[in-house]
Amino acid sequence: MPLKRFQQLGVAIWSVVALSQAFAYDGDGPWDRTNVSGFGTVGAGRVISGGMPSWTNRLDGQNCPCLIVDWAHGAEYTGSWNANPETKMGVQIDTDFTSTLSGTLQLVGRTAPMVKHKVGVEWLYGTYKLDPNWTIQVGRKRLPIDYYSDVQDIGNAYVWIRPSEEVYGWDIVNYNGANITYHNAFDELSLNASIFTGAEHSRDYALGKIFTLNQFNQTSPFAPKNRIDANWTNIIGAHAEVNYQWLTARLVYTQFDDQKISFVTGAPVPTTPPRKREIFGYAILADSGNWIFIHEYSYFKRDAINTSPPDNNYISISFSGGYRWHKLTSMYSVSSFRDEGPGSGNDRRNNSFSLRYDITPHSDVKFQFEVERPELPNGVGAISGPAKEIAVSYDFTF
Amino acid sequence: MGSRSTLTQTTLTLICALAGMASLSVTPCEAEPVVIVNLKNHESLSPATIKQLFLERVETFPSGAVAFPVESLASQKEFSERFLQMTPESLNAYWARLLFTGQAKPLKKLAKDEDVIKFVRDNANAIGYVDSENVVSSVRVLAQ
Repeated sequence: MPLKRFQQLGVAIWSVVALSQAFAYDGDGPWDRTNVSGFGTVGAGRVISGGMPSWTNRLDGQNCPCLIVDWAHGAEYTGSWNANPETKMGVQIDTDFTSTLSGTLQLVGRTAPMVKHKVGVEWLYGTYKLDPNWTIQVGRKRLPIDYYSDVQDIGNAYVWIRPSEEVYGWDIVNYNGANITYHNAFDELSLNASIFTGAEHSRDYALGKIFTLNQFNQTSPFAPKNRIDANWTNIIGAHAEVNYQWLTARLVYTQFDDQKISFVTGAPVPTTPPRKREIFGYAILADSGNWIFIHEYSYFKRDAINTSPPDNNYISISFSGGYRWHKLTSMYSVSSFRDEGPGSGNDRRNNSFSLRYDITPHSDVKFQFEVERPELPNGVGAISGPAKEIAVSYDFTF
Repeated sequence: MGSRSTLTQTTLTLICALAGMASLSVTPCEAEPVVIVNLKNHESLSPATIKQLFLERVETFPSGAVAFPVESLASQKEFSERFLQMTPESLNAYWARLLFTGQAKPLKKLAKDEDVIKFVRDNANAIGYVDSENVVSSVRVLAQ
């Protein structure tokens, strides 16, 4: 019931704004004490044609072929128009408590059916400015694994309806912890770098549900009726982003211990011991004002211990190029996901064409057509696709 | 100095009006944003530094003093195209990324050029921008 979710979001926002105003810093200086901003996407899409492998393996009776467009939140399109998978709205409240200490809360309401929370705390952190260049943040944030990871919910911040699902398909997208960030500029060169650490527990995580819906029968501990939690602990990472005129380059490294917990018997049972994971990534963006080029790469190194087969590493890569003509931007993108282990059922390639029209500086409408092609050995069912999908969206910020 | 400025502005306005009546396509009448600072501020900034300040990639003047950039909603489009080389749409996308990732706070925004001039006049470390036609002698023009 999307309307009820957004009503709850409204009540939550009203409460937080009232509290923020009550505790807001009222000292000297020209800053606004409390700032309320927000974003939203109203999106709809459907699969217009596709193949059978995922259909034959599905256990939930979905009208497949299906295309998963946001793995972390279980957003999936099927053979009929659906406005739930990608529709969302968020509100962010920033409040200064002193001249150097501030707090931020971001609440997001989603209508994706697989995400059980109605309105969730996406971000909740305190910021302490050591000086104009150094900042410490403690609390809950998005994990900055890929270039658009921390703005993945804000459609108005990028040119497609969504960033490549091949690159952005992670179990977990948030963390609770701390980061220290440095930023500065030297003439036309600017630098932003951070170190982050923390952990995240995701109850009945969406990607796990997607995976189990496709891969296992009901007697398996991974069957969809059985809850599986995902734990990422000991997260340590660093990123650096450099901008010079129209060129931006970004490097990122993240490591963590990954463990899944099954509740098939009611009691929590680890399905594996914690396994070390590492993610190496980079991004290159060139935006001349008219011509746009975006390239991202992630290498997901999975510890060989207790994996079957060993060395089950993932490589995800995307290239996107396009042209902006006044308020209209067109992009053509290709991306792929490769599992270095054989026969996993994960390999796939995606081609997409997208159009964005800016209605105002704070709102846009988009259209996207994409083709998902699983590349699988015989007899292995695809988790997502094969499918041709179309989607439209309206994005706004305020 | 003040009367000369007023005279120049009056002349410019007259030329603009005549050019408009004659439907000339190229006139000097299009909005010309200028960057202004407090009269006590003697900083000299390159165009690149002005850009970095208004994109909040740097938060201090070259002297080390913390800068307080302020935006004029009335002149934002012209300023962002001329000094930031960004359209209002790409500028908003840039800010969405900063704001919703906790990398920066939004700049103070005021509706009218007159409000920006008053703010800059009253805050020693403020830096703002207005249309050149609205500049008054109570602030210093840093760049145009």
